[in-house]
Order: sequence, then structure tokens, then C-alpha cells
Amino acid sequence: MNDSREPEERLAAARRNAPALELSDSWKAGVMQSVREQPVPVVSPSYFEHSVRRAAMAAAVLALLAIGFCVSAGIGATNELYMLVSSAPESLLELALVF
Amino acid sequence: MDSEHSFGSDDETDIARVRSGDVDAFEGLIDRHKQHVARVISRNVPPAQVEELAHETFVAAYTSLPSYRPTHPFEHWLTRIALRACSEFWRREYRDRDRRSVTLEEAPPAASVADEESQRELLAWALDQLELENRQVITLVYFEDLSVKEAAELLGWSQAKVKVRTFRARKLLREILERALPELRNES
Repeated sequence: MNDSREPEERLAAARRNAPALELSDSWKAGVMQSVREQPVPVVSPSYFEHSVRRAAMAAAVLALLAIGFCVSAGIGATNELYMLVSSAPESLLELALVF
Repeated sequence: MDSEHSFGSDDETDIARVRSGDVDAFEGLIDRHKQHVARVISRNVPPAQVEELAHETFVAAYTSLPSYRPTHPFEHWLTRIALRACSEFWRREYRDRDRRSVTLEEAPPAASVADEESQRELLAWALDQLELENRQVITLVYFEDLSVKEAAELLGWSQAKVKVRTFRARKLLREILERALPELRNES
């Protein structure tokens, strides 16, 4: 035999051809029993959904801070906004919820 | 990597059913993929461990199902779980061992490599002479054909460490094999 492959390469080929054990129905029944003991796997929000939610939350907080700054400094805010907030401070909360 | 079973709508349908609470739909996934999982595990651990690790693999797949994304075939995802189970098995095996440095005090299991069974036994013996990390990395990268990136993710290593270790482990494995059976060297 004149095989130019390295020793581990030759043995790896035999390893890939290793026969696999046949898994029986009783084995499957055991797995299903274990599976039934587990809580039902619930799909959690994806990373993207988490990211969008986080970004929305951050935007809402920033908007709230900006409005607060404008109102307190008396600059930049529209008269309507100033009047709204000064007449009904609780509306600021509603505004934040809208955001 | 083996891909005897196709992936696709059957898997996705069963996965959706399981996620919506129909546990019995998991049987379909087991039926379609159990032999693939058995093959992967059989290559990596002693035969007596295959059933138990296949069991662990499917239970882990079930509990991890929410994290599965259909951007990759289900079978590939399952293969990673099976390989992780094998890796954990060897970690447990090595934990209590007083690993000796590589010596050939113990004789290799076969005096020749005439047939595939003897070759597999010899390779298993040689792998057993390696330290755990060398064994893990060479199994994943060289024998299971995982990419460096995939192996790094599975082992929790940097890609640089995987590359260095793979090179070293393969060299060491070759030396062990050649010292055990000089005819292997002579044939090349």
C-alpha cells in the first residue's frame, strides 16, 4: 500500500464510516417522557425585537427630557405646549405615554 | 457533515407546533433526525454512551427550541447540540483523571491497521492520549469539519486559540500514531 495521506487522515476516513447505533422505540419513549417533564418551550422575543423595544424606550425618555428642558428653560417650546403643560402638568405624563 | 435527511417544511411545521404547546409534535423531529444524531455521537464517544448522549441532545434541543432560528437547517443546529453533549461528556471523563503526559506505556489496541474497525480503535486510543483541549479541538475542526469560527463558539475560545490548538493537536496526534505504529509512517 502506498498511501500518501498522513496517518491521522487515513484513520479519520475509517472514523467517518463508523456504524451508528440504531436508536430504538423504547429509547424514543424515554426521550419523550423526559421532554414532557420539561416546561413548554416558549418563544422569547428575538434580539431584533429587543433592540427595537430598547430603542423606542430610549427615544421616549430622550423626548421627555427634551420637553422638560424646553419647558423649564422657556425656549424652543411652542406656546401650545407651554400652555398645555402649565395648565395640566399631568398631561406631560400622557404625552410621554404617547411617545 | 452528514445530511441524509432533508430539512424544510416538515421540521418547521413540527417546530411551530411544539412552540405552540403540542409536545407530541416533537416525536416527528426525533424520528427524522435520531439516526443523524446517533451517527454524530457514535463518531465521538464510546458506543455505550451513545443512547444517553442522544437522549441528552434531544432534551436539550427541546428546551432550547425557542432559540432556534430557521435561517439554518434544523439538522445543523441539532448537530451543534450533539457535539456540545459529546464535549461535555469528555470534560466529565477527564475531570477526575490524572492525565499523564503522552507516553506509550499502554500498548495501542491493535498491532495493525488492516481493517476499519482496528483503525477506529487505534484512533480512539490515540485521541485518548491527548489532553482534553487538544482532543476537543481536533475532533471539532479536523474530524467534524466545523469552521474555526463554529468551533470557537462551541468551545468558548477565541478563533486564534482554536487555530493554534488545532495545529498543535494534529501534530501531536500524528506523532502518537507514528510512534505507536511505525508502519503508518513507512507507508506514507
